Amino acid sequence: MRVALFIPCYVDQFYPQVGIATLELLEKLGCTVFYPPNQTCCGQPMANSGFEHLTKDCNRLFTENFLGYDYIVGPSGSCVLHIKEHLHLDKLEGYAAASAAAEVRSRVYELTEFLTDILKVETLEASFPHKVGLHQSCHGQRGLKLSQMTEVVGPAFSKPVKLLKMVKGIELIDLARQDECCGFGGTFCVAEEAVSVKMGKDRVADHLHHGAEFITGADMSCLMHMEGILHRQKSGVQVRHIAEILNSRL
Amino acid sequence: MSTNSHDHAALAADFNKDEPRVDWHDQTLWWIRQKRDKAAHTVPDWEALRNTASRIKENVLSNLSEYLQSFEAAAIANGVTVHWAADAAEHNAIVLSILRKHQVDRMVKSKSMLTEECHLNEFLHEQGIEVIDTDLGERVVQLAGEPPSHIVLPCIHKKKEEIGEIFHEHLGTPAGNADPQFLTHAARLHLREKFLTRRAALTGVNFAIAETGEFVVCTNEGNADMGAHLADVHIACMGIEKLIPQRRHLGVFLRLLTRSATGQPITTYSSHFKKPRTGQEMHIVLVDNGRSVHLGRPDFRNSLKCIRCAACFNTCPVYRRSGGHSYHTAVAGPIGSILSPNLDMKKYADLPFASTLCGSCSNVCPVKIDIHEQLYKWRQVIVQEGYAAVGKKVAMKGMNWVLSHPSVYHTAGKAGRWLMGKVPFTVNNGLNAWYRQRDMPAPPKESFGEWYKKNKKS
Amino acid sequence: MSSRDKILNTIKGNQPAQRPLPPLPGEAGYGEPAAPAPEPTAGTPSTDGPHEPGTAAAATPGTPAPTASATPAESTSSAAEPIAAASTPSANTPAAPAPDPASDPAASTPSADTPTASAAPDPDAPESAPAPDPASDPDALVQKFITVLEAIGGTAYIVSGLSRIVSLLHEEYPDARRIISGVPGLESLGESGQRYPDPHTLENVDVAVLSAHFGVAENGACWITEERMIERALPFIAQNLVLVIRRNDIVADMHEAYSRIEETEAANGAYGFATFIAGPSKTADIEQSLVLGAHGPKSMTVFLLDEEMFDAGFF
Repeated sequence: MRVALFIPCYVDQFYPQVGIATLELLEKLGCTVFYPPNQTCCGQPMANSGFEHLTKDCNRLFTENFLGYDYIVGPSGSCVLHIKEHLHLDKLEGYAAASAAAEVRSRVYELTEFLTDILKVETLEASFPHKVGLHQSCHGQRGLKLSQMTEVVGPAFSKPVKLLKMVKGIELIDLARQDECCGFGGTFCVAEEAVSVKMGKDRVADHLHHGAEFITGADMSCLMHMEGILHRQKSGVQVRHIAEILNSRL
Repeated sequence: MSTNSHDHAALAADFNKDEPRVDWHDQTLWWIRQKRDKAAHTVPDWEALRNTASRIKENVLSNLSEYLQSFEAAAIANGVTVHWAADAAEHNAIVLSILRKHQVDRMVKSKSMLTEECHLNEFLHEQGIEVIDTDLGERVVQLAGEPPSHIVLPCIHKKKEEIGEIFHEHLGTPAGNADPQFLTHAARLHLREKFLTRRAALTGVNFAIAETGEFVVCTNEGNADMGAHLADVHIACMGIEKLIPQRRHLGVFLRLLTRSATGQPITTYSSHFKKPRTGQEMHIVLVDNGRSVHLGRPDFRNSLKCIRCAACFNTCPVYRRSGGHSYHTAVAGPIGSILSPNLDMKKYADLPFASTLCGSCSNVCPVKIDIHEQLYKWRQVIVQEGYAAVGKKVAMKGMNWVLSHPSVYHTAGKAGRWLMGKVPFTVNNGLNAWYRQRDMPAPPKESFGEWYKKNKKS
Repeated sequence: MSSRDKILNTIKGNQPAQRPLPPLPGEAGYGEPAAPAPEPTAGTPSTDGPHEPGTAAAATPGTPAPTASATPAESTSSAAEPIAAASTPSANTPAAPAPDPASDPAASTPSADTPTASAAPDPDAPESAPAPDPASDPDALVQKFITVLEAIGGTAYIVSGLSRIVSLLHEEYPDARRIISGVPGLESLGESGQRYPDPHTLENVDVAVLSAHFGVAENGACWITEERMIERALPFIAQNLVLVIRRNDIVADMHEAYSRIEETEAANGAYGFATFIAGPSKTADIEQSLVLGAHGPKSMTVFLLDEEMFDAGFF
């Protein structure tokens, strides 16, 4: 199984350990992993700001980089959702380009859904003996349907929780609001700084109130936002991307 | 209604200066969201019901001209006078002419967001006509000289102590009494006198039935009925999108509306007005005000399905922490953010950006409007139409250039400067806004790409 | 061109291609998603490709447990459980106090007749969870109606005959100065058989006693048409409202309710005005504190008349 690793730009620059954990985890589970070196960004920051029309070059680059693999896997629900919904190349650029983009869209997966749905992982050799709060990132949860949403009347399920429960020693805490947005929101985090920070503080407080030692999630951007708040509050609570916990050593 | 085109971010920042109050506002609305969840979960086929409501509204939008004509014909046959208003000004003029004809200079009005949208109260006031809002929450904000901050709970931003003060000043209640039971009773006495002495009553419309020409008004207080049944003239104002095909479709909408709005199984009163009572005049004003144009925007027309339950307000983490007035429009919240740009794209260019696109709004919407997707699409339209700041455009182009040239991206990254200053999501605003209340992660020794190059050969 | 024609013309030019009406509950195909729209819309994300975001995942939930473990919605099994108690995170959270009938003489509960649901009314509590099967158990429908009505601040009694209603109302409203009755057989309660061309004269009515057509189990509402109101204003302006229905006239939900309305109309002719009434007039506009008696009746009592004893006349 040839898997291309899609490492979002801010993970590449700020959280290389998340990329490494994702790579190691996939290799441990038997994937042949490739990292297309010329990748940069999915284009979401521009598109969410209303500049989707400027993302053509990003889209072309992304398509070139990731065409030809069985699967494309990234440790970010948000970036993966953006690719799935918005990686389009105009038919004007040629039928091949348009269908190549469609091909890439159909093969891209967020890490946890790839583990549960494609690799069908049932056990993991991992240990993380800590109290952990799971942050449901909105794009992963409501966009990619990684877990059931509290607004919806339907059966409960959660792909990240299913995986975390395979980790030895982990204690998942309950939250008062199990799927409220953290307020990161891409450019929202600076354009609407006051509300963004307030949302982040409230999310963090919920985890702290319920005794979390670590906050985890499938999106590093939400975690970076909450880490920034925790750090400013001089809290000892840390954030860990879910890949780091699933890849933790026994 | 505020007419200054403030910016949501600035108004929200202002709201956030009093953090305990933000917490109170957030928790009040979250509590209503929880009641909504509880109510929804008591209906096993909730999702099927939403889907059905959405499809009925789809049918309505695809037959709107036919349904309007059928409604008009049936209403006229029922003895109702039907008026058509192309815009807010015409709507206001029609209401005025009806009042003038009856030589009425004082009127009671139950909740109608349409008349808020049309700024009817201000208009009538200028014409020397007194309008008393009879919904308790609306009366509170009216006395306070403010617009409603929420379409279902107009004074949700007011604390009971503040309401006590307003009533003390205007209704003469004892100073310092902030007991909700007491204040409500005082309002009951105050408004009963109005109901008994006003000869004209204006109500909104929740649903209008194309087949029968009747319309349904839902209230908990009974104020619409008190007004309408005691007045010589009943004026009902409705947006043209309020139609549904047949009466039996009310079964679907009345099951969804109040459970979504407040978590109640139904409002106390769901009144079906069909014919004027003997000796009474009944008027219906059908108002367009941009709706027929909105219908022509395929990406956005679904927002006309809205039944004004405000579930998207209550669930919105941004609304809960920024307050209704920060949206500076009659219909605030997520739905207001996709309806308002149609009315005035420049004035409301900020609203589609007042969201994290978390998607909770679309999940609670009883008619399944793709609210967060429309917010995304409005952002594209607003930028394309030239309502984005010039600096933002330049920055976006610059970022695009870096991100679409891997070698530039890698050099910039290695220098450790480009991304620190211009992490994609902080572009334009720089890092000041990030740093004010948050830290950035410490830059690592090497990027993942650099690590990979050293440790893995690909 | 008139505004009417201008509006209709613009709509005709802009309205999308014809979309069919969906099946309603109970009809074949109910709840299924609509077929794709006939006209492609500009800018709509394409959903081509083998994996459509969301759908595949949604179709294969990892563990199909009945409810999410920590959702507030889980505790819906007990209808009478106050939500405030179940979900109050802090003292700042607004609490909706259950109405205290003792604090309002007009709303005080009559001494018990047939026992109904015993829980204290919490007007904001949602109805109890799974709807009973109406076909198999009409008593369950009645019980559900009573439970829901009490949860929204109303009171219900199952009574064996009209005389029982009279004695209960005398106990309940000993000081009532003005009672108007529109129920055949209950003329002795007060004024009856009169018309009130000026509805303002109804301002001081303490109790209005009217017969409704039926009740709805899922929400505690009663359907009443104009000809049973004496005056349109009466059920709204009276200080207290009493409705009488047949015990067997409870439908399960709003879909059945509208079928019943169609039947009634076919038999009795069309109404000019009609309403569903579910509980006393109420508001929660001040800090979400629930107060009964906003503008209209401070109490709503429903008498469910047992069939055998029921007086033929009006019903």
